[in-house]
Amino acid sequence: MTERSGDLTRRALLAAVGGGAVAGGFLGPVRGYLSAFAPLSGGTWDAAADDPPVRVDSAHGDATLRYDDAGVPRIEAETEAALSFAAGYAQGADRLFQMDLQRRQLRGNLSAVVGEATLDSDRFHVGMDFAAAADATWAEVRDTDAGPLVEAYCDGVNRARADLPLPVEFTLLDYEPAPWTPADVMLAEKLIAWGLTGSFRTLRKETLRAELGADAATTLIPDRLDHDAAILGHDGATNDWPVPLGSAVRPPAEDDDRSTRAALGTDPGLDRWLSGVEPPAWAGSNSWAVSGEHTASGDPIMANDPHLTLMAPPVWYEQVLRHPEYEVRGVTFPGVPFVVIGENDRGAWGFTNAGCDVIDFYEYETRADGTEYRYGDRWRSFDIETRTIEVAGAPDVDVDVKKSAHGAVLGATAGGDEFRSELGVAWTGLSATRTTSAILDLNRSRGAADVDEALRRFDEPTQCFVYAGHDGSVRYRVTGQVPIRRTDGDAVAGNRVFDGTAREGEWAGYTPYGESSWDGFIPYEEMPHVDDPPYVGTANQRVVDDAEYPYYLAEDYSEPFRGIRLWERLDALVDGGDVTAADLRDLQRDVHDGRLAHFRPVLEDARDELSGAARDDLGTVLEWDGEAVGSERAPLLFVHFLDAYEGRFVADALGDLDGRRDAAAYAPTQWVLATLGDEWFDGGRAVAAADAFEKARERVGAEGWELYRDYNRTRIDHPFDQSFLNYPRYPTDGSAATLFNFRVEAGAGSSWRQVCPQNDTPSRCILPGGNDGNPYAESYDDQLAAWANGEFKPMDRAMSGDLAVRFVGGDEA
Amino acid sequence: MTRSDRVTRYSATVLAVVAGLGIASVHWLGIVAGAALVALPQRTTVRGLVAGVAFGALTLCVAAVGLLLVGPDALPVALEMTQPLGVAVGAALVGGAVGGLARGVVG
Repeated sequence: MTERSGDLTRRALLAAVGGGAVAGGFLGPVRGYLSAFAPLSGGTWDAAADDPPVRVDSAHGDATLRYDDAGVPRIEAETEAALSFAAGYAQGADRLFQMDLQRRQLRGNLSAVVGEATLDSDRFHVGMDFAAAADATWAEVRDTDAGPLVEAYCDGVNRARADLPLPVEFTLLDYEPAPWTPADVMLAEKLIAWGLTGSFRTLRKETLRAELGADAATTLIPDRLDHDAAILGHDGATNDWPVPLGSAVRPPAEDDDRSTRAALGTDPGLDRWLSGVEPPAWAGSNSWAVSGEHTASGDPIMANDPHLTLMAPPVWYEQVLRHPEYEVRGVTFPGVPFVVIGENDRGAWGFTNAGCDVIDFYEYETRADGTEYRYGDRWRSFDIETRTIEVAGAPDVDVDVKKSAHGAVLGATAGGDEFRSELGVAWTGLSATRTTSAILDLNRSRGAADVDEALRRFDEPTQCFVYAGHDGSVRYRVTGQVPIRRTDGDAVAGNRVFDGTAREGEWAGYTPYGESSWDGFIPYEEMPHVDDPPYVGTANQRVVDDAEYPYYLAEDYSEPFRGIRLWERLDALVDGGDVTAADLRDLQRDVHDGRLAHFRPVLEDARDELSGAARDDLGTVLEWDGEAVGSERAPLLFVHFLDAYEGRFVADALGDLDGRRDAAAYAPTQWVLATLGDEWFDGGRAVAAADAFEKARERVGAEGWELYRDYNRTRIDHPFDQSFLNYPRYPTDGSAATLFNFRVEAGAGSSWRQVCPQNDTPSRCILPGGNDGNPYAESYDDQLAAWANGEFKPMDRAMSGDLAVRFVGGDEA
Repeated sequence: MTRSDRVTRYSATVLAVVAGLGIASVHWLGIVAGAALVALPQRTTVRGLVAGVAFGALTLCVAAVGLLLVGPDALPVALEMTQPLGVAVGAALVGGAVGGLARGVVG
């Protein structure tokens, strides 16, 4: 070989190596990674710099957008359309991925980007056809005042989507979001409404009745819990509420009129599927207001802290909007233009879950391979449409979306057992609703009269609304439409599966996926409410005693631990006189766990069965004052005892359930669990309790926890569960049953805290995380440590902060 | 181009670095192209290869500075991204080396 030919060979070899490497990068699977992660050009790094341009042309008019030190957008405009466009721009800049993920969840197309893991969720959400309900809702809202503002908001979101680098999560999943639409805004409302009122409790109770008997079902899942802490009727506070006469005859609340048909369990396959997609039962909140009659300033004060999933970024987005006729600050769900909870320059408002029953289930006699159902004297065809669910990395899946006169029809392939394998579902949220208009009118409200009027359009979800105004007014009202079920013209309770074929339990005036009327629902004037009470407190406990209300309102309510404590503390504060905002912030920080007193008899039973160090530890718990603070060991042992005791109950008492079910899903509430006697436990309650306490000690020891703070730490993660996206861990106080609410295992708790005095004293608030959804940003998690410590930040409405964007409309654009 | 002229070589290298960073900011292939541009003025194939790898490393440094300029939290967050960071480092160094081979091809 000559020197020249050798040189050529070497060059050719180097060219081949280089060319091969480049070709491999272009054509191989590594291409996507290079596009996403290459230094300088990778989208993962581009997402860091998402500062908006200083000037953005707008077809909706001039506006300014500033961000304060906490990343809260402060937006000012002369018109509401300009305000909405800018709000959309800010949310699109800060939360676009979260918005898209939630939209995908409700539309049932998560699997298209996530893969098979979310297929069950997609099947459910497609089956319920929330998307069609959102379309119907938008058709209702479009021609109202809110319609053009929603459209302007969507324009703002989409402008940000075009102007700014996509959030890093899109790069990681390798897809681009579709434009944000008005129907997507309505979907965000459906998402929260379903999360707060969607419940399959009726089915669980029917299954328990079928498998363990009516007595067991009533004992384990009673419709009412025995306590005296109802919201309405509390002495000195809400006992002066206008009890309606009612046009309906109150149906029995318990089971005594259900004996005409045998209880039937839900098919285990359907049971598992629905359990996996059912909203958590713990969703709750606290809210209270004290009138000027009892405050130091002479002006009312209100407070609210909704308990929802704690996630990164937070479920709420905070914003300040200033218009010539009103200014408002508070939180909204990402994807929604208006402030949902907050205050304007005339008053403050908040919500807690009312727990009303707005969902029913129906079974049918069918024929023609299940394509037809009998409805009264006629046979009808189900409305069936085949939809395709796209699945990343797997073949697409076709599903039948089936509907009846009542709404969605959900089913599973029957396994040949005598179970219900198909159910019609009626839910108020499947109909068109006007809640968007109601929220807009709350933002605009100039006082209690406006608020009263606005809430007429708050169709869903059912909530306990609490308001306090600068004019001294205080309001409490249950919002939302609650259906009156009728069978053969008689009012019936909604706590059973109805025979849809016999037209049992029908809702007059209800049109799923269409427009409903108020006919057939509890009239607005007769919904539980009280105007200008001396004070009011809500914590998801019973709204009103059944004997005092003429309508069936709810199948059940939350456990009353927080409600009882709230009335205790509020009563004491009011008795002491001169309540201040600081007092009510302290009330939000209350960490007394009422479960200790409720479980004391069980714990004392266990003491006789324990000895040595275990008995000493139990003594520590029994001597504990119930304050769930990090510096104590007793709450650490207590909460793990509760878990172990429930586990023991499930193993002992629910072993006879069909083995294909998740027995733990049928466990009673802790309020009920504490009252169950020897007959529910192998070897008796004392032995079970002692065993549970030993198990709690074992777990605590195995984990190396010494004090409550070692265990009770924030664990707030991003849906991707990546370290760089997850929030840092901080110790905090409180428990699942305390007003200062934190549920470490469920990843839930106070998702926003606001305390709003209705005078010149600044309101205060805090988010569990940060306002900006960009993990590179300081405001991604900058409030979390303060939140964990029970601190607050100012909640003023000034247009402070550096100018981030000037939106230019009209001739200047 | 006269590689033996130090001034010319240095000038060409600087121009190549600037142009390379510009291209690399647009597409990952820019790392390879930039490394090739930087390698070409070098006197030997080995030096070209080293220059290419150094260019790749430079893209990492520039990216890090860019993140520092975004805000105090951006770079620490990026350094937590184990897998993306691994791909970025690999792409920079391997891409730089592949580009650096151009010096040996051109001669």
